[in-house]
Amino acid sequence: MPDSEMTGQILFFSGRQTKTAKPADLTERVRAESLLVERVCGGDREAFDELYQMFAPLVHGIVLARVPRGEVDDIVQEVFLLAYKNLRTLRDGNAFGAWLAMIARNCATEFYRKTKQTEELPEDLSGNDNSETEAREILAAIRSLPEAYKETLTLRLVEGLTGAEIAAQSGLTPESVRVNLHRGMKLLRHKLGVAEQ
Amino acid sequence: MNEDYLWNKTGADAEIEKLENQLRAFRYRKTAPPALPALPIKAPHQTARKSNRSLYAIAACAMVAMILLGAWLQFSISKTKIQTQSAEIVLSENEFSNSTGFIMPDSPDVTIKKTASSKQPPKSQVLSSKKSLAVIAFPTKAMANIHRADQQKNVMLTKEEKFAYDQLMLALSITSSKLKMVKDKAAGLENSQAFYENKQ
Repeated sequence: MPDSEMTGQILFFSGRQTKTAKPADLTERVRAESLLVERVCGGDREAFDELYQMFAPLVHGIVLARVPRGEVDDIVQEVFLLAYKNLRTLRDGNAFGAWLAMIARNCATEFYRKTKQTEELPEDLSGNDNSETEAREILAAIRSLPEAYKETLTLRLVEGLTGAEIAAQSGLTPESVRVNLHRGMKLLRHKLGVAEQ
Repeated sequence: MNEDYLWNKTGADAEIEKLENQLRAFRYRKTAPPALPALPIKAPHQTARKSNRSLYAIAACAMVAMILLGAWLQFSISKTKIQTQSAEIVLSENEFSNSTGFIMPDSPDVTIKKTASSKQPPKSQVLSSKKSLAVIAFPTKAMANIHRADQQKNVMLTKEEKFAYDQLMLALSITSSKLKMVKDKAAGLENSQAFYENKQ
C-alpha cells in the first residue's frame, strides 16, 4: 500500500470521526504511524503535520487533565516541538504514541516545576453562563481524580476518543483503559453527587 | 451506566452523553502544527548511542597511547639510571680491587668489563643485570635500598628528558580533562535516553 493511501486511512481512523475502531484497523494504524515517523526522520515535514493532526487530541487531553486550560495550547505545541527535536532517539516507531504521551506528561510536570504556585480565581467571577460554570466544575472534578483515571476520562469525555483508540494511541493495554474508565467514572459520579443506579 | 457506551460509544447512556456535551467546550480544536526548526534529522536507528560508542573508542585509544608513551618514557629514564649506576659500581669495584688485591668472584650472568685505570668506563662497555649487580655491590637489601634512594635524590634529568616529561604531563592533563568532558556528555545523553525509555 502506498504511503499516501496509508496516511489517508490513518486520518480516517483518527480522532472523533471513528465511532468504533476494530483491532485490525488499529494494527494498520500503528503500522502507518511507524511509516510516518520514518518519513519525518527522512526530512518530510508534511508527515510531521499528519502526525500532529493524529495525535494532537491525545496530547491535548493529557495536558488538559493536568494544567490550567489557558496554558494547554502552548504546552501542546511545546510537546510536539520537543518530539520533533528528539525523534531520532525513538527506537521503535510503533511506540510513537506512548512516547509522545510521556513527553506530554513530563511537560505538564515541568510546567508546575517552572511556574510559581498560583491559585485559580473562583469560577463564578468569570461571569459566564451556568452551563460553562458547570462544565468547569466537571472538569475540575475529573482533574481531582487519581492520575490514571483523570487522563483516561479526559480523553474519553472531553476529546471523545473511544476506549480502543485511547489504548492504541497512548500505549496502554485495552484492559487497563477499560478498568480506568470504569473506576474513574464511578469516582466521578461520586464526586458529582450522582446517585448510583 | 452503560459500559458499552463508555467503551466504544455503542448503545446509549444519557448521563455520559450529557457529560460529553458539557465538556465539549474544552475539546481540542484543530490548530496548525508548530513551526518546525530547521533540524537535520537522522534516521531513527542512527541514535546518539552510536556516537557515544565512537567517543568512547577515541577516548580509549587516546588513553592507551598515553599509557604506552608514559611507559616508554619511564623505561628509557630508568635504563639511563641503571647504566649510570652500573658505571659507578664498576668504578668502585676497580678501586677496591686495586687497593686490596681482592678479586671479585665472577658470576655467570654478570659481565663486567674491568678497566685498568680508575677512569670511568664508557657506558657501552658496562652492561649488567640490575639484580646481580645489586647482589655483588650491596650484600644486604637494606644497603641496596639506601643506595637506590641516594641515587634517586641525585637523579638529574637532561634537558630533553625534562622537556619530554613536561610534555607528557601536559598531554595527560589534557587527555584527562577531555575524558571527563566525554564522560559527562555521555552520562547526560544516557540519562535523557533512559528517562524516555523508562517512561515508555
